[in-house]
Amino acid sequence: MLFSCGDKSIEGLVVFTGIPSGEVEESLAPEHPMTHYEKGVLYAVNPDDPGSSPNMLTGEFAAAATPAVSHCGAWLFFSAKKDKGSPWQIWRMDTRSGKSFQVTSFSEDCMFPVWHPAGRVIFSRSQADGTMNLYSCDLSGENVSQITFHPHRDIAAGMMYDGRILVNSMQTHPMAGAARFIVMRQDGTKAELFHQGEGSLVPVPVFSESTEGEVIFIEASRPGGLGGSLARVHQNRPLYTYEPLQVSGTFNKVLRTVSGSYLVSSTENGKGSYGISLTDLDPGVPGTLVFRQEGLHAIQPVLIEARQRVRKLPSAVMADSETGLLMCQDIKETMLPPPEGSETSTDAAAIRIVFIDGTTHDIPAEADGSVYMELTADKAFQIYTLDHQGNVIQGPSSWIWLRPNERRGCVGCHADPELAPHNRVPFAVKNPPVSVPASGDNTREGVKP
Amino acid sequence: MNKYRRLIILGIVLAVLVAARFPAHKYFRKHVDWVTAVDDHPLNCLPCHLYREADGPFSGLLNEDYLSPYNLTLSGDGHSLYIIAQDGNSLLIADTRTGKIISEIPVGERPHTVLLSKDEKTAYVSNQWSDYISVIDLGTQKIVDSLKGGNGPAGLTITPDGKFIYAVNSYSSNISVFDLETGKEVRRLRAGNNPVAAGISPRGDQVYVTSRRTVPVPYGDPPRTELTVANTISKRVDDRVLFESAYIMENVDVTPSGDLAIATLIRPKNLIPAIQVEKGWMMTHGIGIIERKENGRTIQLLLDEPGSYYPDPFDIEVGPTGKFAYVSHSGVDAVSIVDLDEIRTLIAGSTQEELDRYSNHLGISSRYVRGRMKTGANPKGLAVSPDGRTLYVAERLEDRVSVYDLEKQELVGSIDLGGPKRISYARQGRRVFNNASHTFQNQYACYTCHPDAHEDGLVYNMAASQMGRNLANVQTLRDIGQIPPYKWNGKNQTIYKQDGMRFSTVLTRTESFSYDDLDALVAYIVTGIKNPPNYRYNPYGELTAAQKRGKEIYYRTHDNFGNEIPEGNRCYTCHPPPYFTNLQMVDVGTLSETDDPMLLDVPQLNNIHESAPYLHDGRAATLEELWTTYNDHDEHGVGNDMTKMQLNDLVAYLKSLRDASYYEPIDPEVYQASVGNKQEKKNKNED
Repeated sequence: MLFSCGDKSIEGLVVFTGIPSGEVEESLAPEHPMTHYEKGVLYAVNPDDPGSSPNMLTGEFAAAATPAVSHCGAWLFFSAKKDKGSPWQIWRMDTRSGKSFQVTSFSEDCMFPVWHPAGRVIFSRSQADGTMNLYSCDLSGENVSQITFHPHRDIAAGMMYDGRILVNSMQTHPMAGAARFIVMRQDGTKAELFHQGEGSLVPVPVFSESTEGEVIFIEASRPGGLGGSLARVHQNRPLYTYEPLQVSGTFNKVLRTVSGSYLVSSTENGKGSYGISLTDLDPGVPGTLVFRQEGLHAIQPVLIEARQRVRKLPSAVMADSETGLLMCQDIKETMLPPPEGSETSTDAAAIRIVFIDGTTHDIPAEADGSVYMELTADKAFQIYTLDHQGNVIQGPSSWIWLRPNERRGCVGCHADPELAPHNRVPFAVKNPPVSVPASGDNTREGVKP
Repeated sequence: MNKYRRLIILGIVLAVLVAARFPAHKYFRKHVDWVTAVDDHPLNCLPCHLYREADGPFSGLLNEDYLSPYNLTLSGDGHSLYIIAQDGNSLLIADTRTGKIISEIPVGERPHTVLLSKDEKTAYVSNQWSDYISVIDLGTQKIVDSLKGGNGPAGLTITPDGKFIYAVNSYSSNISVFDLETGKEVRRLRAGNNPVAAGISPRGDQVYVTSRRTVPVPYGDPPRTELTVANTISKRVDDRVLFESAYIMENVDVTPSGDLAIATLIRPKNLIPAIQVEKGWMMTHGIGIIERKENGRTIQLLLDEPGSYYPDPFDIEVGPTGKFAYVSHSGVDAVSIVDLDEIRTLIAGSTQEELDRYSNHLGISSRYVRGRMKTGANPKGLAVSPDGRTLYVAERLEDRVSVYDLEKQELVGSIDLGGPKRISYARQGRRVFNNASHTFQNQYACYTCHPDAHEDGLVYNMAASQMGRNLANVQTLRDIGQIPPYKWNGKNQTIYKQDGMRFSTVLTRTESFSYDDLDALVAYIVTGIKNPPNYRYNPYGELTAAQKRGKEIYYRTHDNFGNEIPEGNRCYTCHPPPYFTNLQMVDVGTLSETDDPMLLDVPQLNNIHESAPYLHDGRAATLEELWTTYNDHDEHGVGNDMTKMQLNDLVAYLKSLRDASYYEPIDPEVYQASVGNKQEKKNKNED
């Protein structure tokens, strides 16, 4: 589907989502707070001409949101509704010609586009049960591939320079959890925790990474608001380097530009309209205003420029495989204290795998604590550790999934995430893996260990 | 090269290029696709047919003679920097005040370390490949003598009284103690496996010697690498400290107070299925520490971080205050600044159990790593100025020494060694080979498992089909351009395929090499990797009597009982010179239960003495075990008839094998005839 937006180049411009500031609450798409607004419009403004009027880019859409730029700067991706009643879909705009092309055509909402370095686009696709998983497709919308497989609301916040996807993920089943950042390879393998909220603050799907590995993101205490405060972690050690940034304002977006400054959408203390500025995030130095207009929240800004491309990671996923392999070196290795009144975690003798369909398997560990399993791929499961009597010591774990032909290892169950494995042959791999199949249907049972 | 010759060459190149563009395009495309195992490699003849020339007519035009600074030493006043030019075979002397090279003194082949006498009038340079130590009068800048000890002299240190030098012999795995008054070797001490560097305590009572390869361990055990502690009073070994699960201990230094001896090391994960890189699953890198006191402990601490690795730590220099140490990381072009006081606090407050845990902890480095300084390509040797303010870094693949202000942690200058400015294709490939940026989160470089483009002596669980299966003994890269196919199962017909997309999927797990880098890497591998001389078992090119007898067994056609050995079961059939491989795939009955059914690529045997363990899965710890333990049915050559003495002779001959350039293809019948004639005469004489 071809759609003209005026055949005008937007290279070098700042593109943002504008929403009438008086109608924020009314314009919220209720299932997608903070990001998608029924009256959202994409605008372009020249950062070198702060007083200029913005150009409307998506006037012929009922709504548009979440602009994202390819690393070459040639494509602007965004979510948009062609008509008010139609689902959100992913579109792309040629930044030279201004021409737009529809990418996805699903009956469900497809939102939050992120450029994939192999020339694809990653997006979130809503499911009927309220979850959202990540998918990718090529620029024509073909060759759709699912990336995540757990009962969560997954939103790709962006790509890290090492090639992994940083995902804002919130559990929805069996009960709602708090949003946190997880990180995974481009094919959905090797997913692991990156950052979970501090106190009452939870991260929102916005982050910006410098080439030196500093990751700045936004955290908020009120889901559904337009913004939050800035915090940072370091990519090298994200779980232990959290630091709130002492920069005043409420932020909707932060994006490091090639020049090293940050393009932000913010408002002072949540009052007034959100405006866009370029800043060094230095508390003592005011930024350069790019755009601010009373009555219009200017949010989700991006700068149309070419950037360093993130790594293109090879995929170990084999479509013709139905299983993945999981090896735990020692299930007794854990950071978690044993539950009160329970056996110590060092008594762990087996693990229990509970698939999302309710299928349950108990797998005894070898004498060295190792287990080696072949599990049904692309099916979420949780892990419990059991003592010699079959009582649960710890669990459940977060939802985990393996991709077809994925081979994954862990040091222990809830082990120190910074612990590298001991260099010893796990007893369990001296034999073929224990087969751990799911039932084969996609129903979600209550997880009852 | 004369004018006409150049024109002819140019004409040939143009003709090939025109042919590739027009009539023969399809043929060339098919050929390039086969070589590279992809269908989109640029149709370019030059990488394979020009840049891979090691000795041909283009070689001189395309390649350069680089200097490659390796180890450094500063004079006591800090004004003179002595630089080993490893590829330039020379000692360079720089004036640190002007940043200029003031002299170049040719030394032996592949120099390793430079050491100054106490009066700084004499320099000693170990020449690893020439097998001696050059003694240089720094006044006349002439070589005035040489010291000859064990094989492959590398690290050097001198006692505080200036009377004795301890020279580390990397190939014969021992330490020569030289009395400088007589110039004679007065003692030879056994060291670890492939020892390389030495450091001495401030009082001079103990010398610490690192080694790179594991001592023999039971099959399936993690490596254990020896740090030898020699007593300079008794001139005997005080202790052999084994660092568990560690290897490639390149350098060592002792703090000025003498409380700690610290060596660089790598902690490999070769026994764990190679299924991921994340979380330090393949390689980790750090330092090994000996507390130099009564009941002092041995500690290992990582210099990596959970999402960023600092591979191939090479040199370590402790600053004059003893508060900081500096470690060069050859794999990521960086120097780490390590807070030793913090490490002292960490050690003092930790139980042995906690310290053991820290040895695998990727986050603990945040306590003691105070900074990282970016360097040029492949940083090796370090030198700290006497005032502790300046650090000199030998950037091996830049032909440059960089100068850092240690207070500001900033680059403040550099010393250009005067090497070629042009980066040849092979040089670019050598940079690729040594740099870990082609691995996910920079966890390891090609060099890490192939130090000096050889092999690391470990067996890895590559988990090709399932975890715990298909164990692979790392193979040397020397001469591999001549001996396809690649991998033990021979699945890769070319180096391009070996290092292509599959390589990135299962090993480096990040973006595959760009075609330009891959071309360069192949050019380096096929042009730049030589076997070191085999001085240990074949010093003069003349075989010993035992080796000659072993050679006869190697080429024999009949067993001890007079039975003819089937041609396919003779040593030389599968292992003919000059590379001692027939490039074929075979089954010699050595597959184990953990192997998938497959044929095995016949390995080369040049310099086989330094490639233990043996067999595709490294089961044979020694060459002897190939026949005494793993050849019950004579499938790996007829050998069960051999006497113990014959086996010893055969092994002696195998260990004598050296670089392929020394061998011509042998016609076994001609050889047998000559041996047979001698044997006949001998028998007649005995009659």
